Amino acid sequence: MNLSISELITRLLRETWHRRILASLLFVITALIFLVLGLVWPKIYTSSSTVFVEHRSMLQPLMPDTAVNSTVVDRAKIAREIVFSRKSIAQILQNSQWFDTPPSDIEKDHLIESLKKRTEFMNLGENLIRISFKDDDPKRAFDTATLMTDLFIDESVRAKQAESRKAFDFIDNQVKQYHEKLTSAEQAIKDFRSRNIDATPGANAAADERLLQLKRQVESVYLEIYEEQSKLDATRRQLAGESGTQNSASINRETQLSNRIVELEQRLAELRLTYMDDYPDIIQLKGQIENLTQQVKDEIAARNSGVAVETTELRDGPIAQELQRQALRYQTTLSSLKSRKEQLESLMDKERETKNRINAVEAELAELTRDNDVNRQMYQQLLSQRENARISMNIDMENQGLTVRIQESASLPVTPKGIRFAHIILAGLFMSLAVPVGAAFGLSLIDQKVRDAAIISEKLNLPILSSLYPVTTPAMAKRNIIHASIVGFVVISVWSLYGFQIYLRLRGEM
Amino acid sequence: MSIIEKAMKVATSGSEEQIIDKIIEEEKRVSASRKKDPSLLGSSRNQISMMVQERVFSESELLSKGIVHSSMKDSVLLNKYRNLRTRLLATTEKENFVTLVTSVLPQSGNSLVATNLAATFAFDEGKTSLLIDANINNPELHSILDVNSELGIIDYLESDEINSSGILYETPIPRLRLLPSGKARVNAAEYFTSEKMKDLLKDLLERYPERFPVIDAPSITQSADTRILIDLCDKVILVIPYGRCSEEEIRYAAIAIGQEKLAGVVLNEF
Repeated sequence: MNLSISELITRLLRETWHRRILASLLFVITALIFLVLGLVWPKIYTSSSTVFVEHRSMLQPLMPDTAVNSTVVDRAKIAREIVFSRKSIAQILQNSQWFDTPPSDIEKDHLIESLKKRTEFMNLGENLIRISFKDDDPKRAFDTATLMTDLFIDESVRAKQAESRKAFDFIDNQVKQYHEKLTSAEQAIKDFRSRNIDATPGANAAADERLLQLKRQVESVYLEIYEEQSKLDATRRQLAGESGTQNSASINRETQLSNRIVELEQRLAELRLTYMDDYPDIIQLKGQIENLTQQVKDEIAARNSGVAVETTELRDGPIAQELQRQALRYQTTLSSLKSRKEQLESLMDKERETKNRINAVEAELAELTRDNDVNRQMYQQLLSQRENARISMNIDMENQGLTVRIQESASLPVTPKGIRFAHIILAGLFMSLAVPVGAAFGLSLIDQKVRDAAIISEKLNLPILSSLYPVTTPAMAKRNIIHASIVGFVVISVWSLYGFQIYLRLRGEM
Repeated sequence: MSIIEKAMKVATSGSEEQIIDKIIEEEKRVSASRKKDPSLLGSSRNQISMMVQERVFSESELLSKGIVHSSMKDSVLLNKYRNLRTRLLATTEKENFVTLVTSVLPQSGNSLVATNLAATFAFDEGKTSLLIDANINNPELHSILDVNSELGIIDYLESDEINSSGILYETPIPRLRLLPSGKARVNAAEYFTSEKMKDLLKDLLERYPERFPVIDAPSITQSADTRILIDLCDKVILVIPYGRCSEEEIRYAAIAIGQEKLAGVVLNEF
């Protein structure tokens, strides 16, 4: 069935007129139902307040590098949690006149659930929260909204104070820990120092100097020893020079030996002219020459050394004696110098050992000092931070740095919100017309009777001669007018009833 | 019918003048196809003008009875009836033909349709119409036309003593005669099947040259009489009331009438 809008409207009106009794009844019933509904529907009053919340962690500005906060926070959810905490809800329950008689636990539970449903927390922007509460009593709605807002703010401030107190305590605790560390590090250095006295600053340099001095002393001792030795040698040569006979005898022996060698060499040369080298005489001769040459050498050596003189030939005589005394003195000096040299050298060794030890101690000390420095630095930093935290805490204690405040306080609601009398009345006016028309049209659709000429001409394929209607007789016209008047009267009386109720409502509310 | 509906009807039926022009044009065409000797026409006119007419309905009487007349205010309806008449004439070549008006369901307003159709035929001073009330169980026409009928078609068929002119009544509408049903009977079908009924119709047709008999029959789905009468007549008009019959009922009625005799349907109050 495809109807144009004008056809549809005609059809709707016609079917409604056709079933005018039913339609009128439905109109009256629907209108009255909505009217009654409008009268008994509870009035809901909403009171709401806006709270400005600037949420910042106390630790963040105080310890910018250490603490990291999560940035996305559902403030409305937090506010809901705060307001509906056990403590807060107990206060809300106490405050208003919710019950006439002392409630049972179940009643209380139901009320809490209903409070939760009737309260709305909404994020208005980054830092604004709206808290709204619905109730059928405007005064109670206002009181509860105000109380919830106050509770939220008190709780937030308290939480903030607790937070700054916590931040201070935390930093204070850290300060104490670092203080302990610093003290123990300093104590360790002190102990170490007392254990290693050498390890005073400059000990190493002193040791170096001492070592240098010892070295110089050793060198001078060496020089002295050399001097004494040469003196002793000279004295001894002088002593040897006193025995010149012995020397000439030695030279004589040498000359004899040399002559003999020359003779033998001549003989050897003569023999070589006639004989081969492996001739026994030649070999013998060679051996003799060699032997003699050795003897010459020994003689020269013995003469130069003069050793044999001392032991073999001691001379008496004053000069010799004097020289001998001198030599004896020199020998004594020399031996004393040598013992001194040894002593010096052992001192040097000791000094070297000390120097090594100093180096090791200094490395350990450097480490201890480094620890100490780091601790000291941290400690000083924390000390200044602790002072900041103390000031922040004091500010919060006096509510000076408040970041939670009422932006717009709750007001006493005058007009009810939500589905109101006016809405129901409007719906009633609409529905009271829509229901009868809809019902009449629905019935006309249900009965499956032919109401469309197109069905006859197109579907049943019957030729339509004409579409007629009865002549409107005066009786019919009169009847129609009477019926229309009755229907009109019914409609107008219902609307008057509506108007009267609206008037009463308006006057009552004004 | 409410005032709103009427207004809608006028609005949807287009300009009145156009409709009238169309009707006139069609009437010309139809009358041309039914051309007759002028002298013959004149004699039939004279014959008709001599018909007795004692009482005539006033306009207000017609209006209160719901009968159309040529000077009525509701020209839309008037033109619709004229249009219906013209179309009906166009369906057959026969000079005088019997039209039967029946409906799918009882109380569909077909008596008024039949009366108004007969009245429309009688608008023309050269034509007469005859209304036959075949609604034996529930005759209405005599009360619509204010005719005091003692005898009717059944009485005529039942007895041999009654003359056919004895049951033909004059009505307060000029050129319209009524053949009432007579006393209510139970087994009317048996009378309608008789030869006498056939003869009666033939006799009535031949009495005047331009006579258009219209039979008001009961609804076809309810009455066996109607089926028998269909055999005796030339054209059948089926009245379909608004919102009262189903598709199936209409189809059944159309089949019962048969395609040959069915001139077309008339929608009542659509």
